[in-house]
Amino acid sequence: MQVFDRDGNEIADFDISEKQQKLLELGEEIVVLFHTPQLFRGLLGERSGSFMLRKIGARIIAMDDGSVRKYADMLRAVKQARENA
Amino acid sequence: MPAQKLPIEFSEWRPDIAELDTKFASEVENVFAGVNSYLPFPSLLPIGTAPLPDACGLYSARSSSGEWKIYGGTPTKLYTWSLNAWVDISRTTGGAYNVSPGDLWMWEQSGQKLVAVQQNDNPQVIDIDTGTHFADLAGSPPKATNVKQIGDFLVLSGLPSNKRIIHWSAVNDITGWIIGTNLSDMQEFPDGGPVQGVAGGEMGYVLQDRAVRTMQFLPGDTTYIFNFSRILDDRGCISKYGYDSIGAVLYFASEDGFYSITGQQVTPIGVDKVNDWWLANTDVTRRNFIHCIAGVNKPRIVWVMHNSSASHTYDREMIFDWSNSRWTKAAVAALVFGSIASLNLDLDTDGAEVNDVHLDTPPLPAAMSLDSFAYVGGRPFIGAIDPDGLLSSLQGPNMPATMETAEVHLNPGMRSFVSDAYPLDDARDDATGTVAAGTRERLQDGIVWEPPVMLEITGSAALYSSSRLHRFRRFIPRATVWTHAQGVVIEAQQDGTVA
Repeated sequence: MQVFDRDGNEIADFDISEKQQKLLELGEEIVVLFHTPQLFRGLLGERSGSFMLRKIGARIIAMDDGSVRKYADMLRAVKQARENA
Repeated sequence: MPAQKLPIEFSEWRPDIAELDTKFASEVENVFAGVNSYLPFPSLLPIGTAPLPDACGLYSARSSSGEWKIYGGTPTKLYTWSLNAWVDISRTTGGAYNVSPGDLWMWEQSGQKLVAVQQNDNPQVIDIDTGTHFADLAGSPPKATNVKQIGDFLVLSGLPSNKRIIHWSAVNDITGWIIGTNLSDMQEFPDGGPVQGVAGGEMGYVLQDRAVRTMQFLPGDTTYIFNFSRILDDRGCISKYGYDSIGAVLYFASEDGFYSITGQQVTPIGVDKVNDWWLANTDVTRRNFIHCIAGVNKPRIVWVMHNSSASHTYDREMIFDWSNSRWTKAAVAALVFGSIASLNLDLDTDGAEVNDVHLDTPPLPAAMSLDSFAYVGGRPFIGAIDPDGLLSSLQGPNMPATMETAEVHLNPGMRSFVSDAYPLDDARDDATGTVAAGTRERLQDGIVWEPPVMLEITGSAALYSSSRLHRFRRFIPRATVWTHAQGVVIEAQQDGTVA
């Protein structure tokens, strides 16, 4: 799922749950909380935060693009760490 | 010395110490334990005629409107029970399921969704209200042996990919399984062996092969989510299905017997009672399939297992009554057991539905009043798929029951002659019930059971037994109607004297 900032720039591409997708489709605003998974905390350090997403038109817009980038970075790092494990 | 009439109670079944302790019985079969009596144990009563051969899963779930539905599983398919038939609601893509021999489907309702798991296929989900077929649970959750709702999280355990790990969903979202997102995460337990499963409700218990831990949600903590604390070391659950919880109390079967845990308090509920008997008299090679079921309508917890290597189905039940801490056992055979609920009875008299007989064949059985609970359904009961594959309830005619007194030395230092025994029970029309005397001269001897003697018209059995030590065994035949059995009144005198 592509996520854009308020200016229309793509800032990340990641999956969200089916339930949250449905909420977005219904026009609801969703909150995504994130934290470094426990198995990788020693490797990746503590990262946590939250951001809100909303569907405007056909696009998913992030209200706080900094947190979204941080989340996308964490997902990439976790994926890399799992592949290397 | 004249003959005396002596009441002797059927004792608590504690076979592990009964041989040398004169307060306990070494044998009971097919009974429940009451406060001061034994109660009958029912057989399975088929409630449908459509078989589900090779069944390995049984569950009840409740729709949003309160209607109960029964679900069953086989090694290759999932079904729901409808109008005296099993309807195939298996996934439509992905092919037949592949449950390993001996394994069971494990189920959990989460909101209006029902999740079913076994380790060889992706977790399956169906909408209880509207679903027509199971499908893979969204979010790519791992394959799992067990599933449990703990607070707002669905927890998967017994993961074939890594059995030391449990994985929980996003908060209030069983479609979210991305670790690190919306509180979904995994926890690995480096010691304690593979995780057998998770039990509990708001507070969870993680049962490993050699450890038990509590699992406590930490509200507001988005870093650790749950706090895990080991409360039992070197002991854990022997079976991936051998545990259940009632409220905050966990019950499980361990390598050396049965335990309960309340918070941090560990209680060995089977020690000096039934543990040694259990270890010696059930199939050691299939202990990993022992299934624990917590009764909903009675204060009892039941472990079902295999009697021996020759058992083709579950055929031994160990029953713990947690209101009086007494054990009994039973020998009801079934492919799978489950705690299920009665379906609602409608007013249609076509006769196709379960219980329609009440409306179709007046006056007997009598039609139920319109405010009967039967029209609502949802009465909890222990259900099973019997060896013929039929959906059944544990509400059939009474099983043949055996109860025993403790051993008594009626005339210390002397031999005693017991002329008859009068059972203190209310078995109706008991034409073939018997009483037998078990005798030995000294504690070092083996017990010799004398031939069972049927009751006479007086209600007594003429035993004519002479020995130093006596115990008495009552047998009540199958399908006899009775409610309580307390013991026997024996007539005895010192041997060699005249009454």
